[in-house]
Amino acid sequence: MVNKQDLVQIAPYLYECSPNVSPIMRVPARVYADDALLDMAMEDRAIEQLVNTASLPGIVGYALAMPDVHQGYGFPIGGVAATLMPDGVISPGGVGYDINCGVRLLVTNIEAEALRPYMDRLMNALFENVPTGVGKGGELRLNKAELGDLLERGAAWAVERGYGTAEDLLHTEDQGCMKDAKASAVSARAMERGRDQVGTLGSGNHFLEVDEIAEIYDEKVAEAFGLRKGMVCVWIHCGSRGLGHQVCTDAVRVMQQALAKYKISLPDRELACAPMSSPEGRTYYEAMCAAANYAWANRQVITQQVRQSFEQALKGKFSDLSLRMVYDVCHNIAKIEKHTLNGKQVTLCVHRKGATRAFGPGRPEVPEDYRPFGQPVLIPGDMGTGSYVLVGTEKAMQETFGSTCHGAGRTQSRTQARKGIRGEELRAQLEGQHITVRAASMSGLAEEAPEAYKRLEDVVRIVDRTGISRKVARTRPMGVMKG
Amino acid sequence: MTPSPGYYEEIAHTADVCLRVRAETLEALYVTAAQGMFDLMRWRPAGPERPVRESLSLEAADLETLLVDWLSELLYLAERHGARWATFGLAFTAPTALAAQVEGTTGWVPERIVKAVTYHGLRLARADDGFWETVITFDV
Repeated sequence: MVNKQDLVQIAPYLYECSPNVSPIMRVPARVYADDALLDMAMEDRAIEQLVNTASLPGIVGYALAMPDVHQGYGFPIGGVAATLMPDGVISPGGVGYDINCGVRLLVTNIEAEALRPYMDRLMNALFENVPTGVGKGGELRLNKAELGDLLERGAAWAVERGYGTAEDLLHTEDQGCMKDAKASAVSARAMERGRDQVGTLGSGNHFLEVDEIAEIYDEKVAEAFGLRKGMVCVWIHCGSRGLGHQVCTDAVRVMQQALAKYKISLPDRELACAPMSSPEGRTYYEAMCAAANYAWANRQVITQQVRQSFEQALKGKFSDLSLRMVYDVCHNIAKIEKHTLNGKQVTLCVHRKGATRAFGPGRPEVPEDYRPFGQPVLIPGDMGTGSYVLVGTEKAMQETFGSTCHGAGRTQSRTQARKGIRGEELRAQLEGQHITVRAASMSGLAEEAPEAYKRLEDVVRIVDRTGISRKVARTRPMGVMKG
Repeated sequence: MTPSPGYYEEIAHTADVCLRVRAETLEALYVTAAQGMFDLMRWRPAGPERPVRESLSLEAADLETLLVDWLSELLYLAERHGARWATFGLAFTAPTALAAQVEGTTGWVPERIVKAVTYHGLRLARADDGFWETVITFDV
């Protein structure tokens, strides 16, 4: 049990729990927060889960919690942990079941005010063209060979089939493909579940939003990212669907059995892990990369469905209907990355569970046109208030293994949220704020009510003030589509 | 749903869903956990109903793993058939092995997806009052 007194403020908006607080900890645990956000984090089991994460074999530096941290399973959501390669562990629970759940942002050359009269028409087209909700299959039905190819090539697989452009790939984290992916590491069951779900949004907190760019905080970086105030943009939030869930389920089971073999003792079975150098660790990593590639292909196909919807709904109304990719980021992933630790360059496996990579200027992983500034960091908020675009920083490289927050973070359980407001009522409320809503499930909509989340501006203020990423722009919803 | 001598209640969890399940026998505990999980998914009709039946045999290293395997298998089979399971016949064939037959109907779609059954904080034991009890977290 960790108390608030165990968290000592070591810098503005940064608290540290010493490894002396719990015998299981191998490194300190750090939380980026102000006093109010820290209080919220103490209300559920998030900090206890962070302390558990600090016990992973091979963990280096510190276990980190971003200001949107909240209770998950195994790792907290908003957690970051890096293990030293080659023998540090990889933990499927440190990635989560929705592998490479992530976000992409597209910008248009359409002014928000000019689009308003056509929002109903546009949202209808999007709702018709982008399969949404549980059990909705996509238009693609892949055979084993096609799916295997997709799993090893990611978003490029989709682009080659006409779903998008080469520029889309350049503006995707890892260019939409983790090269270590192996289709042979993915189980037959996971393959079966993935055959007809490419190009589908899914349900839960996944969404598609049409937003207005409401505020620019950094003109120079915004210009580099192609963001102009008053213009329309589109957010796509989804992941690797049933295939990713199955990859994680398979791996957690295998690693339960491997714990004794590698003499690993853990405070929570969901932290099950294996050394990256072990057959179990390596197989999971290769399968996870394949699932990550599946998620990128999924978002790439959806991108093209969005472009088609704009054409279908708005043809003849606007002279330019192009949608340009700003960027695409992962929120649930483990990556092999080079970082400087205690003055030495080391290779780490960085787990980001509900956290975003925030690489600063000059890193080769950042697309060439963004490299002088740092990578775009995409932070979706709740459907009533909007989202932020940030930029990665050198400070993040020094302090957080190049990581930052991923969203607002929940404060209410889904049941609480549903008790607070009915889906129909929420839709009416949002439409009163000139936000057009399309939802596959009204109860699902209610679970994602703005009141169920922390205020995104409070979360973003912390990462901006600590310098682990900086504000570039804020967007405001005009149309929301939920699974 | 088949009545069973067990019950479940939802426990607060910020991001996911957590159930406490209690029953007089281990068999009833597993059946009640399955009923709880499928209740969480909120089903709605999506097409013509057709009866469907599946048999399964599972073996695991311990009772907790067997419970995760049991629920995960049912989730997979529900997705595969587009089915909602209504009756669960289950018997233990060894201390940590079971055989089961489940029946339900196709033509149902859940409004809420259960992505996975987790091991987070998972414990399964007999309480002081003699009831079997477990707490299980679902990723939704």
